[in-house]
Amino acid sequence: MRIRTLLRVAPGAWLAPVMVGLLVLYVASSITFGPREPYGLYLTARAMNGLGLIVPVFAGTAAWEGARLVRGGVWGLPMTRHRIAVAAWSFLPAFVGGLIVLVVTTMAVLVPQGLVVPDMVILGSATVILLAQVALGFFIGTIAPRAIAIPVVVLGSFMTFVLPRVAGSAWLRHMSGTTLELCCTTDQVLSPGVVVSIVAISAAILIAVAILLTRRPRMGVYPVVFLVLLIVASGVAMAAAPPTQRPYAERTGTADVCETRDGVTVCVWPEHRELAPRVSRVAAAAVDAWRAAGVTVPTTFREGEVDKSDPLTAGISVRSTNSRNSLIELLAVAVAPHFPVARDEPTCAATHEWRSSIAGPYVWTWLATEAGIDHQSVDNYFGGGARPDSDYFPDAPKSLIVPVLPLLEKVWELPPPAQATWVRRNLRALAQCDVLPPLDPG
Amino acid sequence: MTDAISVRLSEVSYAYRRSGSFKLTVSWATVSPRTVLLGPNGAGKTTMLSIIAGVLRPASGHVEVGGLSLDGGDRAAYLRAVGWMPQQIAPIAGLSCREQIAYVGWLKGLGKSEAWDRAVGTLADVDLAELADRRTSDISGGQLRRISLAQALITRPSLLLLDEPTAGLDPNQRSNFRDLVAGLPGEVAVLVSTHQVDDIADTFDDVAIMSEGAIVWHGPLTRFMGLATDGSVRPAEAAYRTIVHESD
Repeated sequence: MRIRTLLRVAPGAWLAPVMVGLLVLYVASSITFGPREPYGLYLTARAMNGLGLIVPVFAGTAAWEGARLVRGGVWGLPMTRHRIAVAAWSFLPAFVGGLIVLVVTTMAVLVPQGLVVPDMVILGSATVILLAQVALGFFIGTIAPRAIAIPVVVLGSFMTFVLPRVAGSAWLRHMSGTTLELCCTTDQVLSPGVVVSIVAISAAILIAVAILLTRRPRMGVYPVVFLVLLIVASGVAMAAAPPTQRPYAERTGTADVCETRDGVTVCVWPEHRELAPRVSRVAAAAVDAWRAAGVTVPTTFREGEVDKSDPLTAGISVRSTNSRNSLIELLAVAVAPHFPVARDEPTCAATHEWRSSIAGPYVWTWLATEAGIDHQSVDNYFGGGARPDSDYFPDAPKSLIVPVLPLLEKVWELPPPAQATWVRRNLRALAQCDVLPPLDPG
Repeated sequence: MTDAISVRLSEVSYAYRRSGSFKLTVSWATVSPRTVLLGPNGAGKTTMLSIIAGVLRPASGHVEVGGLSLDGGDRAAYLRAVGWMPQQIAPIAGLSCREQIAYVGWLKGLGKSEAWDRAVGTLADVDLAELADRRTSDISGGQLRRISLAQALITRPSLLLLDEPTAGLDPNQRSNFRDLVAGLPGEVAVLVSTHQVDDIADTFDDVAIMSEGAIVWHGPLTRFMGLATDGSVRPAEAAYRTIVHESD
């Protein structure tokens, strides 16, 4: 069919402009942004919020096209074109219409955040989902009456987005692509397993549709073909993205936007370029305070991967929403990593129980207080005799899990050199995993 | 004068999945330019034409038209050489007459622009040039038959298969349609299935009769008409009855 004819007669082509308007409004009003950072992956993922509306609508128009071909007796005509080519041309407007809406919606999310490049892996994954469901919609349109096929396709497609969220099954969400929108903070990337899952399931659907369109077996064979292919694809998907796996992985590489102030270097991801001066200012002041108190701390704080064997470098993960207080908290955690907030555990924690982690909350509170965090923040965490949650420290003796502030009152009563000694000993313990930290200042 | 083209079916068999009672078994050949296929309802006329058209795949046997084989490497050329006008005509919703014909041309392997250009001439061949831009949903039943004929002609076939082309048309429309077929370009041979025998003498050179899935009689029109009992008011009908009763 000529392009001009397709544009005139295909509902997918008419619906695209209407859907663009509706989806842009929907996405703009429904997306709740986290930190407004120009991270293409995060912003593209947020735009996928509209996928659960775009895909069902255009799969429905594909079902309409399938039904139209059947009513027009096309499958009964002698033809030299391959059935898959005939089908593809027929559902092309539905697919392209959906793709246009997807891209415009994504740009509507990205453009207000500045010159951000959309993430092509997420857009590609969404495109694959759209293609598979449009093809499936077309196929259903060829085997069921139009009045049944269209509602079944629209509702069925919609449910593939809604059910995994309601059921909350990680594996189902992985495979249906509903995890895309949960991706990703600046120090994360989309898990390759999620992409493999989406591609495997979508490929299974496309292969099943291709086989059934070409071979046209008895009706009873249809569900068997889908079932067999989906089971195989699920196996691949499960192997690539086990059920408990999150949709994101740690971002690899080293942050290379660095700023040095008073001998303290802070390196952040390019998306955090504007934050670097403020973070380095707070870091320089904190390191200065810790040095003055006699505690040796790292002089480089870096986002991304860090060399754990280098005692002068520590890992941080900043946000554009970080206040001065929260930056001090982050820096203190980087110096005294502990459960559950540690970004980088010591190397030994990979093979040993990290029993010394219990020292973390106490040392962290001392460091944060020394660096000038306001007392209200400390009170919020450990006021009223609060102690670390024993669930996070199952290997620590109960005798060590004591209220934080009363213990620190005793530390603060010590002369500064003795306080520094207490901190140094506990920091050393934190790095050794299988020792119990000398928390008692007496 | 219409050119002859050979149609050859060698031990072709076909059975419908859900109907165990009917089975087509045919070995048949004709080189006549205009052949009519007669037979009672359920004799297998549509099934045989559908097999020759390439719509139904025979369980066994071999089909050839003009030296091209249906199941060989020249299948695409075969399908372009055979035009098919089915009994049931259902245009694709939303398309204009020209778009419908061009689309069918594209299905048969023509390029998009070639099919689009040819559709104009083909519409003129069936006297519907003025309806090119009209939606197929807005034309009459007789015009729809002509659209279907134009679809069959878009690839400029050597053989045209017409399955009950005048069924459901009033006498005037039937006459017009017959004139249209008679006026087709000379290089197109025609094989028509029908159970209307009254006017075959004006149009065809050759007659084949099917019954219960087999060709039971085949010969020139003159020999067929000779089978009528002397003094018959409707000689073709009488000849047909004679053959069908003999085959029973």
